[in-house]
Amino acid sequence: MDAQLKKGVLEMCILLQLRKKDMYGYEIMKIIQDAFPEVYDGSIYTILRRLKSEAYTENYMKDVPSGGPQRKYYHITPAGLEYTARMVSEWERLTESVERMR
Amino acid sequence: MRKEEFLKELRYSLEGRLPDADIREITSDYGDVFENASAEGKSEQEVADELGSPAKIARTILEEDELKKRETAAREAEERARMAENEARAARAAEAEARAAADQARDAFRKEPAADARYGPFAGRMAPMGTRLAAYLTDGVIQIALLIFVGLVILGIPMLLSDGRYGYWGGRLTVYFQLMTLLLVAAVGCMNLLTAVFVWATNGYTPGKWLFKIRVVRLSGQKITFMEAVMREFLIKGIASGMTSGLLNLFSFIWGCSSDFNKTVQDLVADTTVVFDERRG
Repeated sequence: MDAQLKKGVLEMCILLQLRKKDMYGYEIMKIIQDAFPEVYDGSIYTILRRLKSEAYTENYMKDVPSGGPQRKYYHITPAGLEYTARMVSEWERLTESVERMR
Repeated sequence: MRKEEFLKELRYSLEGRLPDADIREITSDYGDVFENASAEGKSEQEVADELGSPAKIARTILEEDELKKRETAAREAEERARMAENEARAARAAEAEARAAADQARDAFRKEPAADARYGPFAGRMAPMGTRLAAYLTDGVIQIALLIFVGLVILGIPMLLSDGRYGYWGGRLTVYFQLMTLLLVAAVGCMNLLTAVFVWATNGYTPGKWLFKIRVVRLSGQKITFMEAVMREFLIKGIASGMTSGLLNLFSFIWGCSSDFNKTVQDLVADTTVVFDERRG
């Protein structure tokens, strides 16, 4: 799969997950890994880093219920929500176009 | 590959190429992956295999970083270019405005030369009418004195020569006196012509004006021509005024008190006025 396309799709999926609820890094990683077992290569954090640097997400630390070190949670920002909506509509247009080609 | 080894390699790959705070955050994030995975019962080796090579992850991170830097730089360059363009446009607008204002001022000047532009050299240096009157009266006294002197010479010398008697000259002397008297009358008329010549030759002075440090100037700034001097001094002040028993000169004086640039009748005719002589003032 093309690296750019993969990156874009993974980015959208992460944001879609964060739109539902705040999550910590490993949690996000597991979900993506489950959904895309064949494309996962461990660079998930580079995408999370990018989303944060674009201010689409923000971090906060939260205690683990069972004790142990704090977890870093990701929370989607209003800018992130807007960006997600834009990406989803673009994605829909793209898949519609692809469908018409078949 | 074990956790510590993995994180060390990741750190080495990033060291010096990202801010330390970023590297700490990244290694901490991947450390968390190991923590979370081992809580699920995975071995460190398994997690490391799943994550792939730390060098590859580092390269992806650095590529991402580089891309981001380039995007930022491009955006900044664009912003700078836009600002420079705005500045240039503003400068051009200001220049055009200044040019338009200058054009407008020049046009206005051409269309309607200000009175001061024409009379500028003499504005504010007008000789007061009182001074002019004093000079005029002085000229009158000088003229009369001159006439008496000339008359005495012309008429008196033959009288002195005749030793109070007509003797040798006899009846011829009577003819001489009559002739000389006529000449004297003509000389009176010619006095103003002499003044005209004087004004022309000295470029604006009469004896009286010289004394009061004022002079006649053409408003155009050029030298007074002979014809103008004759018009001004002889035709107007002499003949025309003489024919009106001096009333014209009186009227001229009153008129000059209120007209622009103190122009009297003779000034109107010759386009002149009288100013303080700046070289002697």
